[in-house]
Amino acid sequence: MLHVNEINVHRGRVRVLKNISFRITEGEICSVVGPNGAGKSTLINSISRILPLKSGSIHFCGQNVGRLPPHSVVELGLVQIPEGRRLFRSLTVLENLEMGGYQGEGKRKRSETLQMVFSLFPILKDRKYQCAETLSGGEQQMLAIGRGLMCLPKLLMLDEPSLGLAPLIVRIMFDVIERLNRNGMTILLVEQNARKSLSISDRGFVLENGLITMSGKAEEIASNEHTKKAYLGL
Amino acid sequence: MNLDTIFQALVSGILTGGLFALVAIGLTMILGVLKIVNFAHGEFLMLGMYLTYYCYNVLGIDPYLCLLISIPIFFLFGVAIQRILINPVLKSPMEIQILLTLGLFFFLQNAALFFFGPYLKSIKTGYARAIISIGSVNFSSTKLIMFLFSIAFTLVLYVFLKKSDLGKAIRACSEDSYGAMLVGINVRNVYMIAFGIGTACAGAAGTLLMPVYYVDPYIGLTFVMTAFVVVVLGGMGNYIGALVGGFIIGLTESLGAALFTASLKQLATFVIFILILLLRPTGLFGARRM
Amino acid sequence: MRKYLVLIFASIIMTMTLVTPARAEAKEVRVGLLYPISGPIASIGRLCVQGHQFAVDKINAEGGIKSLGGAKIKLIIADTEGKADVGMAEAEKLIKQEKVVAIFGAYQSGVTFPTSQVAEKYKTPFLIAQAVADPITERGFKYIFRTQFKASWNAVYTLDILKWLGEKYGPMAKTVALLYENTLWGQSTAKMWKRKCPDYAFKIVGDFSYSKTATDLSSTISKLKGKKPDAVLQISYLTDAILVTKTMYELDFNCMARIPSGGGHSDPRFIEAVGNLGENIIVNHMFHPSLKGPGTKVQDVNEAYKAKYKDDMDDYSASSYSITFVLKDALERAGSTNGEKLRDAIATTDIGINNSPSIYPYALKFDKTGQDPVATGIATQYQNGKLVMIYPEEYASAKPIYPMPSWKERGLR
Repeated sequence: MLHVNEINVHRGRVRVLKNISFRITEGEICSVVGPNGAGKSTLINSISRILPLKSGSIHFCGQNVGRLPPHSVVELGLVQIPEGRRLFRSLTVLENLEMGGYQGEGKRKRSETLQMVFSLFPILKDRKYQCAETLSGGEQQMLAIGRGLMCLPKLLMLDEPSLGLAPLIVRIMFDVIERLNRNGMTILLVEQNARKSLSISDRGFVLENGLITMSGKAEEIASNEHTKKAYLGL
Repeated sequence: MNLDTIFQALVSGILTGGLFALVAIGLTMILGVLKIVNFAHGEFLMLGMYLTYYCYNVLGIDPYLCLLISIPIFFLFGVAIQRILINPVLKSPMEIQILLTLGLFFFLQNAALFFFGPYLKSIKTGYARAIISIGSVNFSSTKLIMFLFSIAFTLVLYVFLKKSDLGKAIRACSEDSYGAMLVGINVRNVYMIAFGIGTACAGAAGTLLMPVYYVDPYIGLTFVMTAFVVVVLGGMGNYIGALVGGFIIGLTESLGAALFTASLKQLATFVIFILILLLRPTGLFGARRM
Repeated sequence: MRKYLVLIFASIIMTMTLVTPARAEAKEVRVGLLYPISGPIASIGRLCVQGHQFAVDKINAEGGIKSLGGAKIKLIIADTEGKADVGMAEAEKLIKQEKVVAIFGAYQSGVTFPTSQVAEKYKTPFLIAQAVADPITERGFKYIFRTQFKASWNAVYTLDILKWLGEKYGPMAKTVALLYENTLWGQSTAKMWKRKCPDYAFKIVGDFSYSKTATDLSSTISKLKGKKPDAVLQISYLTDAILVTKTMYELDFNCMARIPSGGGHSDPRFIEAVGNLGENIIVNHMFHPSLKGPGTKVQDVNEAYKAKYKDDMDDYSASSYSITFVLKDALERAGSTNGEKLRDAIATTDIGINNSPSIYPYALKFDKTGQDPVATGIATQYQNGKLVMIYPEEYASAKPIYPMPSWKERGLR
């Protein structure tokens, strides 16, 4: 479904991603594990077309998206829930969600998708007319995911969805991710909570210093001695 | 000090306040969405006045009918300016952006000087002489029309920003352009539209001002200075703040002149400006709220 | 390669700056004009320049400066933009780069004040035909000369007119209000009014200053209306003169006489902008084409001017025109363009009314301070959209309309 081929990405003069290649197949959950600064967010942002590629190509559903602007990538169903949520703080919950379904297919199916999001996160329905900034951290994360779902993603990329959340909320988040996956959504998950994310994933890979140092089945990565020590805190 | 003067000052202040608000709303939109301090904003107003002048004197088009011409023309003009000049510097440091808009300011002013000459121009419409008197308070009908159109324009803009998808997208971009990109909003287009709307506000304000005032190539600065104070007062990027701020400044100027002396009226405005900067830098209503 | 280009470029510039004045000096007398020819009062500044140009064309056509071997006068025009700082820089440039022998300028008192100081510093004569603020010639300067009356004299003159109107046509105004822009010109005139009004038994009931860049004067005019003055004495530039007039109409302010001093009210664009709202305003200034001078001198000059510029002469062009002959006369007598010699020649100017080329209604000479002690003005009134002479009576071409009818009586409201 997503085919990343030999991409190099620079931030300023620093080469952050070095010849990264991987594939994601439809229907799977894939985790990216790695230390801070390894280039995980850069990877997601390059796929979202926020950051330009120095070289290499990205194909999504057979289409080359390497030169498209960010909003067109979203329209194709390649959606990112960014780290730090990036909500529209002074807009209401409902307006935030509407902005998710801003264009194309998302706009046409807006009211149906809205019902789906509200059934997934009933709290958002109660808070419909509140400003986004008045929500708690957990509710804001729900809104961020809800807003992403409004774009009708085929591949949903989540960047640190559990960052700074209470354990109970983290569990809800992972439940939701699994539920979305069961309903047929492909998921690319970037998580510092590697153990938790690998436990719900089919596959995973390890990103260190801009290089993929290991990839394979999620269980294999979780049981590898190096990753265990470095990222799983065992 | 008599009561008549106070009433007169209140009415005059509110009438001019409406215009200040319209100029400031365009400025605050550009500031809020693109984070660009547009020094050329007053020049758009000046060009709006010239457009109206020539429409009336050469083509015989009524100034208020000219709104139908000036709003779309200035919208497109703004879109073009954004596309050609502003877009390339959006990611540049602030000094570069300020130099660019300052350059545009000087360019437009000197272009006006070249094409329209240094002399002031004014138009005489039939209704410019129509005076409305309520008790001891007098004001010209053109000022009332200017006020009503300004308020109507501001309200339409408010409803547009509040209710329409595009309006919400504009607010979303001013809030978090990165987040907006990630939900599939074409941020480049939104920037162009926002700059176009901001420019159209200035152009419309120029058209409304023409029957009341006069135009020369230097007129822009007078109004844009006041508009900057209004924007800071209301909170940068805050639309309701710009409206309320417009009235506050209009009333400060007129009441200041009524209670003290007209020599001090701009002084009073800038005292407010400095106090706001010192005590409440986010403005009376905070930044970027509707 | 680049180095060579820079060198070539630099040498071209140097040649240009070195050669031009050297060649010019032989048969030209370079004279600087320092006026606001862009900016809000550019229309006035350009009329000033036009007056000088008209005079210089005439002088050159009649053989230039004979004592300098028929040298032609060449005018170097510099723009103050109506700003003091720009004016100072331009004055310095005129003297040091353009090597002018004298400067005429700078219309506004606020700009004339500092720019003439620059001329004094470089010992270059500075001749003033329009700026009226008193202190300009009260600084003990040696190189500054003014043929225009002082603001304070003019202030007194305004009161004379008002008194004359009351005595001759009645009723006499008892109360006056002062309305003036708040720069040097307005403030110095207002100060004089305040000092002199008691001598004329006029009671000042209102004292209103405003900034000439004001966008709305409703509050000020409303306060003025509350004071119910019999007459308004006014000092305004152009844009504020328009704004004041429109606002007085809007707020239905009426009085027996409005007497502004020159400035914006005599600018042709004033009456163009306000139309019949300007009717019956009395404007106090120094020249009018209907002026009856000795013989037909004024009319002859005015006709020639009109043939060339399609417009009657006005305060600005006439005063610029006349003062140009002060310099011409001095150059002839000095036989030199040396700053000091020229200065001494100007100081001993004595051009009488009868056979002078000037069209001022008074003699041209200077006291120790450089001020023409006999300078005086005239009064005109807008009647049927045109200025007509009303005072002094021996020069007048029409009777004044006094008291001024109210807006209602004129059928405007």
